[in-house]
Amino acid sequence: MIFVEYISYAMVPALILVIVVAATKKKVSTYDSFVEGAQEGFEAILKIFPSMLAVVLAINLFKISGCMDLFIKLLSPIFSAINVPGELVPIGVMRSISGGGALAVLTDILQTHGPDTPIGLIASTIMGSSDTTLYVLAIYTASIGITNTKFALFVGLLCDLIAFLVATMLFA
Amino acid sequence: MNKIWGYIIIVSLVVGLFSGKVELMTTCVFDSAKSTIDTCLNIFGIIAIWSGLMKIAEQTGLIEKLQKVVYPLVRILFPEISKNSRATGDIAMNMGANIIGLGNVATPLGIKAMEELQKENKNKERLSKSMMMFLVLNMASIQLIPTTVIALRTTYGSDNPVQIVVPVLVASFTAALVGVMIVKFFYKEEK
Repeated sequence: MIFVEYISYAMVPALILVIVVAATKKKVSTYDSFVEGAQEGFEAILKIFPSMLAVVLAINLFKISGCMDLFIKLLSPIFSAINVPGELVPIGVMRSISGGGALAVLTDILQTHGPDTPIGLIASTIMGSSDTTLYVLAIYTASIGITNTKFALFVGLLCDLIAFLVATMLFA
Repeated sequence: MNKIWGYIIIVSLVVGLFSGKVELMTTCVFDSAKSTIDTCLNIFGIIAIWSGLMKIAEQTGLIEKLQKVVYPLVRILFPEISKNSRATGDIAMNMGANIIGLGNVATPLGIKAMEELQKENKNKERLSKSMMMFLVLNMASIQLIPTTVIALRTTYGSDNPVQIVVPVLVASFTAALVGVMIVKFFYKEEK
């Protein structure tokens, strides 16, 4: 595990080194290229900002108005029917729509239940096994001007549900 | 997205107004603006650095080499991508960054990949099959080291913080597999 961790930290510096060494060898103007590329990065972020704002605004309003709690309450009986502990529903719902929100829920669960209890283990697994579906979809499609996403949202949410159920079964 | 966004806003506002959370909602609107700017500022530097480095790699011909190496692999999931497209390299690098737990690096590479895929997309407003496949892989996020979760588990005194590594892999891999299958078999390219 330590070895894997070392590799993950060494990746970035190693990659930069390889790129710059290769470029210098080929006499590419490294500084100019870097500046030119960074400029393109700047334009990319300007394209992302509006859609990110839209998603964040909607999610925050949903949370603060109490709709989120209502939604979770509505879902709880369905999940308890298939033997999923009610404590896990909030993190399951949050995971798909807000990364920061899910992290807050996980912190709360680890605090109250402990990280090595079944609930703590399942919640940790749910957190790690998926990305924030709504955010990924919004950023990646907005940056290139896609308006028709077909059934991508459905597949994304279904994947989240599957990851959720697998995580629950693994520690049942 | 348009319908869902509208409904979420309307339902939230109506519920909020009737449960007397007017004040909270007003501050929420302004807080959202602020927190989005913060997030953008946070990833902004990393995106710029990465775009800069990738530009150097591109002009050195490194990207082209990588493309040739990973093309047979990427082809399995993305048979629609043409051989000369830069998307192949960007997809491979995005997946690599995700797997080793570098989410911040993965995002700019992912955007780049989407831009390349858009060049081959026939209908510029509609998500192509390759794009959806790529999105599904990112949403399922297969990672070897879920860094944030491990750190959090350590903070709260876990005896074995990395105990979840294999379960995380199993869960996200299963989800990704189902997602990939659905896109593979149910995405019908319109004429």
